[in-house]
Amino acid sequence: MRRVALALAVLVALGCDGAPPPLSDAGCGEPGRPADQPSIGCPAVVELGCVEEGGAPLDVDVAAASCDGSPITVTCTPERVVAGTTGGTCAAVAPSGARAECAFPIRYRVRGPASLGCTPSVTVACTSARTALDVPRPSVMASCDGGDVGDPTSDAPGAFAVGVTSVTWSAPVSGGAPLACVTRVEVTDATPPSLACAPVTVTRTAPDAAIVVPAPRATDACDEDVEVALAPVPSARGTHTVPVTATDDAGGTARCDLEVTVRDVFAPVGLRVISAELAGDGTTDVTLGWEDGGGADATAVRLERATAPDGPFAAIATLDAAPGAATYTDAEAPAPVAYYRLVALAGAVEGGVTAPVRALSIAAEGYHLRDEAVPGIGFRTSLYGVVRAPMDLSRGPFPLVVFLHGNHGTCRPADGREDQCETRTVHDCQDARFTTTPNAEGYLYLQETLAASGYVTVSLSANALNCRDGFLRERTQLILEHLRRWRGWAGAGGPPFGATFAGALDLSRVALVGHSRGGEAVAGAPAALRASPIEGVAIASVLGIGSTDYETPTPTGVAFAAVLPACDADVTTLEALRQYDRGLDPYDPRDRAQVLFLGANHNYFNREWRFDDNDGARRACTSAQQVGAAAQRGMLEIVLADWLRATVEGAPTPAYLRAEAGTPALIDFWADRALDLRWSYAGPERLVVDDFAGAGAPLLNDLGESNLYSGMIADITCTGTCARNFSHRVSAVRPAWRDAPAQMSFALGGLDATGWEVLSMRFASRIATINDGITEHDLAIRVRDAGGTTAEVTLRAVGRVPHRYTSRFEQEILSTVRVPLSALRAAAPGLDLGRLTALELGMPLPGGAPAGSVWMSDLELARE
Amino acid sequence: MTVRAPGPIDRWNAAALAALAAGALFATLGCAGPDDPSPSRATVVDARREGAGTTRASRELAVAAEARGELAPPRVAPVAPRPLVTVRRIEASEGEDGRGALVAAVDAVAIELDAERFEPRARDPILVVGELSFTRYTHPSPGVLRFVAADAGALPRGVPLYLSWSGEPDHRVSIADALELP
Repeated sequence: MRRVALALAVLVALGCDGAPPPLSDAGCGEPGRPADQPSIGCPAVVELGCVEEGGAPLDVDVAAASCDGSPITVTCTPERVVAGTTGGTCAAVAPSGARAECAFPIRYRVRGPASLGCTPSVTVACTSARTALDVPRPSVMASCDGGDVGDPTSDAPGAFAVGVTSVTWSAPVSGGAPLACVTRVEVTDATPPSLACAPVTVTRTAPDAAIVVPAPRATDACDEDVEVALAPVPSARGTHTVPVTATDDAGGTARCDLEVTVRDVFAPVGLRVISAELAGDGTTDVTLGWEDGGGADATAVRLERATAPDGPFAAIATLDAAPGAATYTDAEAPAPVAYYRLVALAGAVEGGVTAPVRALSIAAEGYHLRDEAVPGIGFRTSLYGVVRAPMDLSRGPFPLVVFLHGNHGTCRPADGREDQCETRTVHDCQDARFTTTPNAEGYLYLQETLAASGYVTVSLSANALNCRDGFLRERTQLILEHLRRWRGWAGAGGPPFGATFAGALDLSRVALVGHSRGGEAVAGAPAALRASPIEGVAIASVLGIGSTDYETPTPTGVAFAAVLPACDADVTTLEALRQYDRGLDPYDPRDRAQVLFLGANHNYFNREWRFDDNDGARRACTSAQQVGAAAQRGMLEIVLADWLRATVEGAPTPAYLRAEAGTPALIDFWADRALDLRWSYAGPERLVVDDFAGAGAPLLNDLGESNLYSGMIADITCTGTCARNFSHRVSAVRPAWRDAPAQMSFALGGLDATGWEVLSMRFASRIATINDGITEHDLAIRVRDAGGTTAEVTLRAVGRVPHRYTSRFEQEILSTVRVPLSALRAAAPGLDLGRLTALELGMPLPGGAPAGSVWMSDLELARE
Repeated sequence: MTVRAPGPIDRWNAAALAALAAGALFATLGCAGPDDPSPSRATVVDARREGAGTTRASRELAVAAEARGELAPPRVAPVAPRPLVTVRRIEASEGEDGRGALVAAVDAVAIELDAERFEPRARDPILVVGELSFTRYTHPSPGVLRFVAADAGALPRGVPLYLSWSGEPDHRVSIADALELP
């Protein structure tokens, strides 16, 4: 190749060594190359010195040649260098049009301030989640008048995510402020994500648990975390089609339909120890009960056991799931404590898990102190107690529960006949032909169940007080004497227990349970203890079963409950209802409950009272009308435990016990039949609206407002023969209506009901021909506010007033109906509970029985 | 292990209706008939439940079977007949006057009834002799229900004797047409 050098400019930029720039390789002679293929060589750098404002011409010394020596034309750009120019290019063009180019940087300073010149914007397509990119360096414009500008640096990441990133360049200036400029880098992603919707199954473990559907996997070459949205998420069991959208960082989307199957595998509810029994070998059999959690997909439940509340749990049984309730008896419970929990299963899939419940192993103790002096009892007598307590008393202190039986034979014949009476001053039967009737042992089934749940229990013998007329107050004094002894045993200890119970009892919340005359005795105990205090001993709770009411005790200052066995052929008057009535002090902040237990007799609550009191002429019910011994005991076992948990341990009072729900399925299951329990309940905090007593009653209520009774077919008051079946000790009105509208209206005078939770009242259906054909009464309950808003619910929507029950000694027994104020608000959201003006009870309801008559009493507001 | 559903949803109503129906039948059959003292009765055994330990009843059955080795109720031995009422003079320092007071005995008599026919109850028995009522009783030995009248001479002759119970004014059991003093 011959080189042809051309002088193209005034200024020739030379290399560092002053030599002309080297030519590029033209590839002369290579196939396909033009014969006049040029080559060109630019200087390594063009130094211009100071460029004045307005720029400077570019003069470049370029070397150029062609393969065959043909003349070539060289052109360089830019023609002028202005601020911002960073380099130039030159092109050599041969006659054939063949072309060669070279480039060169231009260095210069400018007149005025120094500057950095960034490439404004760079756009590239993504190659991965983070795309590598070299951001173009900025031009550096040093000032003719300033210091040197250092090498620019940037905050550019090594790689760029999809989207826009601003890269800032900066360069130091000697003696001046640093320079900066920005390059906008945009990484684009034109490919949408990939999304696959494989069917999924979601297991819901509780009715209120949120349904969380795992999002399908979405992938995208340039987005590691594609956003996946499901809408709407299913809210119920079943198979649902859920649209799914995946969106990548660039806004690209993909869609599919996801098949979601929601399974309800709820944990059972109400797991509890419903029964416990000390087995013959000294171990404790624990019967657990629970109710179905309602999850329709649960196929089984796995019962697990551990020796600590946090496990480890081991399965001891897997049981088929079924609606309703279930029980399981564990005859191998470890001592001294076992914890149980249930795991709901849907096939092999685990669903909800219950919280663990504790079952304590039971120990049997007892005492028989002879020839003891007891204040209030006119002879020296026996102190005999059957004790069941947690085996490990170090887990206490435990509350004490005291049982007391009633009047019954004290001598048991060997031939299986009924127990006989023998009037003695001691526990033991003195006639050698008989053994001593174990009256106190008759409640072992309750004692052992409670002991396993954390109570120390003792059942007292009143054999020495039986077989006499009266002796009710003596029974109460017997209780107090035992409590005195227990105070000693729980303190420093002493014979016969030594230090066994020292520090193991909490006597500040003693519970008393009495049956028959024992029921009356426990009802009298709070007053007797107030009269003769025992330091450190306080009664928290009293429950009487089929109690007598000879001495008319008024159990106040304690929680009180009365069980009225509807088929009681002994205390046929069910007179414990009067104890409930007399104790209805609105200023006594304790629970009060009464339950009419249909089909229950007097005796069977005590397992040693083996014969039905309905045997013989004095019969309240036939055998077929009774629920049976085991059902009675099964009911009491659970109800007593619930009652004590609420009144001794401070647990919430169960809704059924407050007359706000039907009998729990577990009680029915354990009793092996549907039980009809009719509750009265008075909560700890109440405001009497009308007790229908006192001056002005029944036309003036306790708020000082008027009551109006319209459309009634008989006097609203009813006494004498009219009330012969009504033995309550509360005042009540007797509305009676037939065919035409009738109404009871209680003016409330702008009553502020905020802060109260329920409107409570008691009703009893009258044993009268006007009620013939009625199974349950119904009426409208309306509340009005000062603004004229009216809320109405029907009685049957919130409770029940059943008509009659089976007994030859049937009475008109009040039971409670509680109207949640929330139900009234739900019926009329605008109801102003802060200014109630009237409560109205309207009857008959359209389509309902055209006539009826009930008792109504105890109209109150209550908190719980 | 047995798992069952509870009764019908409206089980209250069902139970009440059944009970009412049974009650009506009970009344129709005249079960409120004469009050005859009953002999000793058989032990009740709940033997109708299924499965051991799943219900209160089956639990009790299982325990009973374990304890006794069988489920049959105890055998009831025949009872030697005992007179319903026996009246005899006794040595006593005091007795009832039949009008509510305990007084010094003049010519005390014990009126003793066969207690096996009147099992002890929550209610106290009251012996009524004409217009006199005796409320203080004892059981000096099993099977004997004794009332003590302070003065035999004050007891009315030729009037019926019957037993009543406190709180049950409409319930009485005839003991004898007339009191026969020894």
